Amino acid sequence: MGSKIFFYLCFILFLLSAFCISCSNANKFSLGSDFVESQTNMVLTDTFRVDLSTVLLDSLLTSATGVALVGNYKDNEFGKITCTNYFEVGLPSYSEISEKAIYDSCTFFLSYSGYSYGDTTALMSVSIHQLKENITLNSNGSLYNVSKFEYAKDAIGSKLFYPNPTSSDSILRIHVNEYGDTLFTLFKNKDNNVSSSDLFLDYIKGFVLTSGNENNNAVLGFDADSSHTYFKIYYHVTDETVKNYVISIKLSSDTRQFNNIQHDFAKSRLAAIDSLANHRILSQQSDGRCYMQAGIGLLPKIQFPTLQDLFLKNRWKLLKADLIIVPVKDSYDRFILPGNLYLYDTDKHNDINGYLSDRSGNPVKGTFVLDKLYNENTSYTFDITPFISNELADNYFNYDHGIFVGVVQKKLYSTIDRLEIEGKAPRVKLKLYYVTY
Amino acid sequence: MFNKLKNNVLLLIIVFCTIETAHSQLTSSPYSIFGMGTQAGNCAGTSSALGGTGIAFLSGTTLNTVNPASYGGLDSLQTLFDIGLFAKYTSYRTKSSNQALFDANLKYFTMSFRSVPRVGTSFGIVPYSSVGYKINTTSNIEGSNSEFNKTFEGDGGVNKVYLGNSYELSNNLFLGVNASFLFGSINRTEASSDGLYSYKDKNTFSNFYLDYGLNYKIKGNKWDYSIGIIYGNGKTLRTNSESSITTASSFEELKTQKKEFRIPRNLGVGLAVSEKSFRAGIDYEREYWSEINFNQSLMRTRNSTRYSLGLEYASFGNSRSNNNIIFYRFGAEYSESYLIIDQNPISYRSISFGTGLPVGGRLNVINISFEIGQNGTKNDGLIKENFYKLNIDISLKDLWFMKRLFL
Repeated sequence: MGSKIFFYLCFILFLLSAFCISCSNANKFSLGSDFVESQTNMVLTDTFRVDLSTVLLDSLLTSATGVALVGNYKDNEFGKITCTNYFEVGLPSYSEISEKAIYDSCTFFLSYSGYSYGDTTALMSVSIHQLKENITLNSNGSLYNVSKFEYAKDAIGSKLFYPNPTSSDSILRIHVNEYGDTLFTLFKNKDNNVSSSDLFLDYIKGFVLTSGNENNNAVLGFDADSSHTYFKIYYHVTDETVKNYVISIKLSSDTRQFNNIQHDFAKSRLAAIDSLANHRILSQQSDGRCYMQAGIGLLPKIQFPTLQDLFLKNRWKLLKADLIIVPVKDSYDRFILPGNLYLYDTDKHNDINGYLSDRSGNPVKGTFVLDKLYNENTSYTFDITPFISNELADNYFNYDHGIFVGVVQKKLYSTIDRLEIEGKAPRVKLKLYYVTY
Repeated sequence: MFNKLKNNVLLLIIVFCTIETAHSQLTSSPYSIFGMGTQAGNCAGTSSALGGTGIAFLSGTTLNTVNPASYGGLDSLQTLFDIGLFAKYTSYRTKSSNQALFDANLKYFTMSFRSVPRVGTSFGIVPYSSVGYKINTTSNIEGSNSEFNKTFEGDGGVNKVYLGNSYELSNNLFLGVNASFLFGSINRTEASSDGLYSYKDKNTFSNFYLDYGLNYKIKGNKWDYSIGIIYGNGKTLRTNSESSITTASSFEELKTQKKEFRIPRNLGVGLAVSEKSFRAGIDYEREYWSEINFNQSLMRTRNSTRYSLGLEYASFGNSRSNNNIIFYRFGAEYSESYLIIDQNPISYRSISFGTGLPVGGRLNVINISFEIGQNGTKNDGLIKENFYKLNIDISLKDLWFMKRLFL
């Protein structure tokens, strides 16, 4: 009996050893490195040429972003930029107004979104004008930075103020008492123009927020939605006591809310871009630099003219491709650079064909790294391996297949963030790692 | 009935495990990067306790695989079923550093019996050589000042499935022949440690192979004297090579140069003396590796030589029954291996102690041995391996279904 148990013990021992084949802890072993003969080598090259240019898109979608941009800014790098916001309001619901009702006042409310650009310490002005025509959507249901509609020259209200953009819960009030009185009379008299939403919209058209003062040097962002953008008409009725009433006229259509953003590159390095073919200026024509400004669709384009030469090599495989973008020195002293940059796939026609994505399908992101000590390695680095390897896969590198540098899509449409890229030393680099065998 | 079925199932599982093991590594040694890897040596049965000695020994309670002629010594009433496993602790030393590894695995599986009165038969699977290494290094990225981590890995080896017979030509003269099928593969991988790429090289080999043995015993009054000779003809193995490179986004099979792998000729002579409770033997064996070139720049080959000495004492205890014999064994081995690395010949020496314990029932005998040895040198940045190895070799007997099959 004892031997039987022993036999089974041995048998179990065998099985254990057979299944515990990896009873070897060879993982951290490093002795023997003199014995190996390498069949492979890893090579880094950053000598492939990178062509830089700046492209101004014909138009950029700016509707339905929920952000109203108002103001203007001017400097020698990007020229002048002017932002106005268009929006529509809806017929308010209100109870019948008594004969004895007396109009008090009317105020237009705006909430800071937290976004600002430029010098926000100076006195600034914002005006509100009524539109002369209805906002109509483009055939594809959107509106663009270049869309515009006629509005009355005279503002219905203006405000001079010191901005407080960093606190997103603070509110800007513009008094529109005279205009409010007109509206109040319509509601009180049950005017035909306030009898239905359509008639009301035909009557009121919509509004534009402009920066009334030419000397402003800032652009502010406000929340543009029905809970943050509205008029309030105040009135009271005196019977035995005094009772106060409010009528709220709110922003009504998210899709017909958009920012008109105009640029004027005169006196800047980009002055020639409007007259150039495809609105594209080579970095050689703009002092070696190229430019990004969200909101107007000003995008740096990157192309790789000599990558085809890789095919002259034998027995190699691409491992990693890093794109390194260097902002112009000191350009980030005056303006905070975007924390993250994103890359967009583009072609001969300068269409934006979506983000460049990494292996798992997420957008490729480059994070700003500031070299405080030497200011030499300040850069954004992007892993663009899938882009390069897909382009190389058919043994042909298409020069027209390029990359736009921009901010994340939402910011591209709803901010005017900027970036100046250095095209001379330290230049934009493509670092290719490949294995030879 | 149930018992027979159970035996069949047991056998199948063990065979399966052994074959499974044949594909895994038996070695962890940086030296196994060279040539065909580390040679398995005489690791079956009692020979691991006897310093590999066995050319002049006949099989007895345990199979001796060193010489096919030895099957003639098998007991006519028994079917033997041998399996072996080992556990090995190795410390690797260079002049500047020191690392250690632990391995454990199955080694072999054999079966042997007498098919007809004057013929002993054995078949099984035994290792011939094995490769097992993982070496982490760093390598320069060309065109930069930085380095990357690189890992070299190798595994696999060559195994031998054999069927051998020993014929008793005349009284005490045995002639043995093994017909073997050698097969295996050696996989080598070179990769960046962060997984950017890996370069794989796989060589598979196979061929049939014959080796021969003679054993002649002269009976004296008290002492018997034996002489054994073994010979194997060299053989070129049929080789198939495949290489490929894999990156995150691509995979390509590469054209490879046809490599040639050969098993060298070997010739061995052994002498033994024995009496009732004691036997001693010496072996001298040469393998003609210098004819074989592996095209590895750091190594060249030479003819390998093995010297073995083995002593065995059998204690019968009180009873004179065969079932109670306890064996005590001692062995020593010195081998000049086929490797010359960077002008340094690599040699191997070991001593071993063992015992064979009788166990009742199906378990015939359990042989346990302990081996201490070293391999290699610390000169020229090479590695000296000091190892401690525990071998457990078990002989089972009387698996009755065998009788059904062969009687």
